Amino acid sequence: MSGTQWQLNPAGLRRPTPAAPGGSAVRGALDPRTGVVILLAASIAIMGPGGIRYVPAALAAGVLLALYERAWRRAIGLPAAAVAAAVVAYLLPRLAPWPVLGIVGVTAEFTLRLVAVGGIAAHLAQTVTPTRFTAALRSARVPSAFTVSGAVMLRFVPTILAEAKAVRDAMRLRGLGGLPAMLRRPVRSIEYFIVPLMASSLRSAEDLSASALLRGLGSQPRPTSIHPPKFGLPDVVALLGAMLLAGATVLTGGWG
Amino acid sequence: MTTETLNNHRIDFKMSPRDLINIGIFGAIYIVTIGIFNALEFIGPAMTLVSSWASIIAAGVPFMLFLTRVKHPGMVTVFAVIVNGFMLLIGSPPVTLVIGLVAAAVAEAVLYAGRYRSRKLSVIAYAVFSTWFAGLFFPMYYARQDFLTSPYMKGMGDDYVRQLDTLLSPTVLAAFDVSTLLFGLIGGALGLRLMNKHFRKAGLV
Repeated sequence: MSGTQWQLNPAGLRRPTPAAPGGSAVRGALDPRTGVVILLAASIAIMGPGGIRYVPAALAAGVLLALYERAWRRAIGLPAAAVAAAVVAYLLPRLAPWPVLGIVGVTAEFTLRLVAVGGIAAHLAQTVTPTRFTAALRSARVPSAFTVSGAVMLRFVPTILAEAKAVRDAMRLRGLGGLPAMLRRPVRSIEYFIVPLMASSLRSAEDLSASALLRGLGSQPRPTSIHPPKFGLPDVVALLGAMLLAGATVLTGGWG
Repeated sequence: MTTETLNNHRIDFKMSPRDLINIGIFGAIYIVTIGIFNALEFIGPAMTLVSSWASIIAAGVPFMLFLTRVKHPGMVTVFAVIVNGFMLLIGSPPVTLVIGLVAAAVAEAVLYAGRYRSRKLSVIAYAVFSTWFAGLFFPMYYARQDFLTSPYMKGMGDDYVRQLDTLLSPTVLAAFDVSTLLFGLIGGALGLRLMNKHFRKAGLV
């Protein structure tokens, strides 16, 4: 955290902000609402008819966000995954005139779209904590039925992933896991995996809901937040960048 | 049956914080289940469909357990909104949210017809709810057109393109959409069976 002072400022965007009490604020991060708007715009553009031409723009946005966030692995991995999907989508069907390969190609093209949107989504997932996300949703006047249950869901997903890992390890230990076993007896494998996962998740769910209720989750008065969501310079830059990328796509016709 | 409609319990839309927490928790379990079984698709593009079928079946277990805790109308709809909203954020096509909402509303109607008690109808409700998976593949309808007319395909010859077109015909894709309903029934039945076999005994239902 303290190491940021001397590091290079990519494009001068990242201004070190004073450490927040509790350290919960993310330095110079985008407002969650900006991220959601960019993500939805990318998703609607790419998943729409002829949306494949927006893929390079979305990829560029994803890489830029990854660089901004200093997630080097994603900055490299994202284009690599996109290239792999594009190779399968466009070069594999040319190997042999089998329509089956064509189906694989169409599916891979779909995967390519998902990768492009997923790059922006990964940025949100990495930078936005459930607390900030709910604060943003609240200030966007989303009904509390959705913010409360959504916050619980976001809070609980990592817990269940940890439980799932534990269950998988236990299955490995007993020689139950593995893809071949899964393919041989799919329903049996689902049972062996899901039942312990559910049982352990429900146990921790009891604790979580008790503590959440004690802390006043879902209580009538609107909760306030220590760091109210605010739009800042990074948001303006990000929105302008996204508009620039979309504009470039429209003007040049993209690829394909 | 008719007597049951008479002691029609009050339709109470008001959800307690505990209900909302339950929705969130089961939403999380549902999403993780789907995510884990959907990870199969990284084996290869051809596994995409198989992985959705596996997810539909597997996610039937948490969903059926969730239905045992649904007490108010609207809980399934809120569930659909947060689950599909999350899916939207991680890159599913926006049409999925629309389909998910419609499917949830129909599922609620089915549940309501059984006064939120009928076990058979809850299996059907899960099957209806699962049709939102069809939305994930909606871009395939028009992405196919993009792909077939792409310059890469020009070199393959008309015959090839025609064959591919018939293989990926709307009928085949529609068959997938219908199959989500079928696998939903399997998943719901599996969920019901596992609930009786494991969770009821453990006092978790």
